[in-house]
Amino acid sequence: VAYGATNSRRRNRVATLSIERTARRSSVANLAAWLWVIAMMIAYLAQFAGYVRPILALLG
Amino acid sequence: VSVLAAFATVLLLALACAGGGRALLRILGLADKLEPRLVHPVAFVLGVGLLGWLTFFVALAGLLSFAFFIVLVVPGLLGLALRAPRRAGGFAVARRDVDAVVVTGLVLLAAIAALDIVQAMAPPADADTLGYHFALPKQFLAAGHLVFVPRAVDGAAPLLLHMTYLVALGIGGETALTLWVALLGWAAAWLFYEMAREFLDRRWALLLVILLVTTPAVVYGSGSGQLELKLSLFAMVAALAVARAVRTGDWRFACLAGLAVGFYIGAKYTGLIFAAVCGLVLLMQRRWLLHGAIYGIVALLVGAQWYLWNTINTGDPLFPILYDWLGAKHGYWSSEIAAFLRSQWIPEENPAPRTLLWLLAYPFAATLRAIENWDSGRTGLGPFGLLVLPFALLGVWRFRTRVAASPLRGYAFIVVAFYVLWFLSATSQRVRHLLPIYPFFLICITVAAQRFARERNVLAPLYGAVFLTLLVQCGVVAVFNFNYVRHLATGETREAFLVRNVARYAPVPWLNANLTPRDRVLLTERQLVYHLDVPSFTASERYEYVVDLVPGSSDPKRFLAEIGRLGITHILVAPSLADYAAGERHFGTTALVAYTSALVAAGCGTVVHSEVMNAPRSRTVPTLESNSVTSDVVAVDTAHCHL
Repeated sequence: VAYGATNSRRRNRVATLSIERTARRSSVANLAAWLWVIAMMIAYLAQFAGYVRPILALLG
Repeated sequence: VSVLAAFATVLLLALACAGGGRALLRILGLADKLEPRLVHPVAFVLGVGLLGWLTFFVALAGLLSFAFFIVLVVPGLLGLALRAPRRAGGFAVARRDVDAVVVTGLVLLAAIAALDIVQAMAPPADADTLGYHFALPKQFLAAGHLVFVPRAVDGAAPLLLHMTYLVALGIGGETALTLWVALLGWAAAWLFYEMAREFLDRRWALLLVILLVTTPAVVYGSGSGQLELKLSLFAMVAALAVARAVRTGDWRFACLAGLAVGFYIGAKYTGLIFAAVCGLVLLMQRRWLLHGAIYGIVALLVGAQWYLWNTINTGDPLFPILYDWLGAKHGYWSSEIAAFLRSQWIPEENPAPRTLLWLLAYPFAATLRAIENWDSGRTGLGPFGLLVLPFALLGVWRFRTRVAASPLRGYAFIVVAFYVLWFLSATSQRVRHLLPIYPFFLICITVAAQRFARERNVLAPLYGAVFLTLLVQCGVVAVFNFNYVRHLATGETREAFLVRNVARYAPVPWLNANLTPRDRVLLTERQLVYHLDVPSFTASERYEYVVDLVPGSSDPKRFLAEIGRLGITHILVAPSLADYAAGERHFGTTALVAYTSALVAAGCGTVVHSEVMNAPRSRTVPTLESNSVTSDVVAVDTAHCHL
């Protein structure tokens, strides 16, 4: 029984570590993806900086 | 009443195209081979192509009249009586498919469609549209027959889609025409949705449609005569048929591909590139010989009419592209203007060198930099491709073992091969010329990105990319349409709208009021042509040689003879003769103003009207700086001429 319990705990521990690793990897991937999306959107919008005032003036 | 008549005309044309296309699908035996959801949009596209194709012969025969348009259109309605396959469950949508995203998307699409109708109620104001997309059909209608226009780029071009414009204009007038072009844009969105549904669920397919219709290049061009989005109709049917031909081995799909590609070839020269790419796909499969032969013959039969028309008139099917090899009849072209056009047009329209580095860099540069001669920036393809690129590339890498067998491989090949051939050919590098293949790009990149994001649990940033893109692009739609909403809401007059929106429009009301149908005005401002109610001739230093204005030409006698042959009675020049004498110059008009000054000095002409012409830099954002130039209208009088 003692041997089985130790083995079960070990398996649980390995599974927990795996889930944590996947979650960590996933959150890093999410963070990187968000950074890319936001950085590229800013880079895209930068070319229109000169239009902000005229458009605001247009909309009154 | 005229607005109701315009809506009725567009409804008639739409039903006739749907019926005519359905009959074509039945004749091909493909109505039951395609998925029911694809039958209606594909049939509509075939009907549009068929209408344009048949109208060419009606125009050639000199039968351009209301009665013949009705005779041409009504038989299409009979096709509606043919049985069409039904969707399983009809158009009913399961409750689980309707969520907040779908409802919001549908509301957004309805709002954009309403804005498109508002835009269609205003007079056309886009320069290319006024210069030839709508001007040529109007001129053909006025003449009652097809007229050959010996002009490079926007005269002697394939005009299959313009023939459908001609029918809309001939039956229902200008508002019917503007509604018709808007409807063609929505037909592209419909077909795109049904194609996307093969690979994506309802929510993603709907998001892609909204991304497409809010793409700045689409917003800019779909409500005008610009062709690129409309060409995607033919491109989508052709690519779909090619994919089915490869998958099923059924020769009838190769025939359908030939039909659609033929329509594309007949509507724009870049159709030749698309035809080559689709042909390559058909040649790289098991039944290459049969499919290739059927595809080639059908495409040639359907697409050849405008190339034969050019050949008959000039001896050059691609006038004036093959001038160096074939020459040109009737003195329509010369080695001087050929060299001048080459030296001016190619560097202007191709700001990036055609190198491998720029082949790779162009999509990024065109997304991140507003380069004028690319029409990127305000009228580009938007940020979506750039935002989801890493997701898509990682998806391709993650599922690399499945890529070769993917049903998307045909579309992906078409996108890449068309882009490479287009970029390396010396055709214009304007971004919107990629719109015909943009739907395939959107499907391929989104499917790859979505599969990867779902597997790696990074869907949130992908949805974020879609949301941010839509936020920006919907802003573009709102700002772009502000001009048209204001026009409709304030009850602004037609003239006031045109003065505000058409560059250098000022002399048009005077010309319309004071010239008669027996007069003919020579001008260089092509964007004025459509709104002129009197005959005109658009002179150019680089696109035509009937009136020789190539820099360096200096023979006023020859100029007088040339305009005499054309029956020119008035000349519109900018800058005015006084300002020209004081040293002011305007783009591309120096030779014309110099000749006109010589005519006036020799007593062969008199200034009869002067005007300051304003040109807004942007119709959408009029608060951007505009420019102005003086102008004179000179009446030609050879009676007292001592040249």
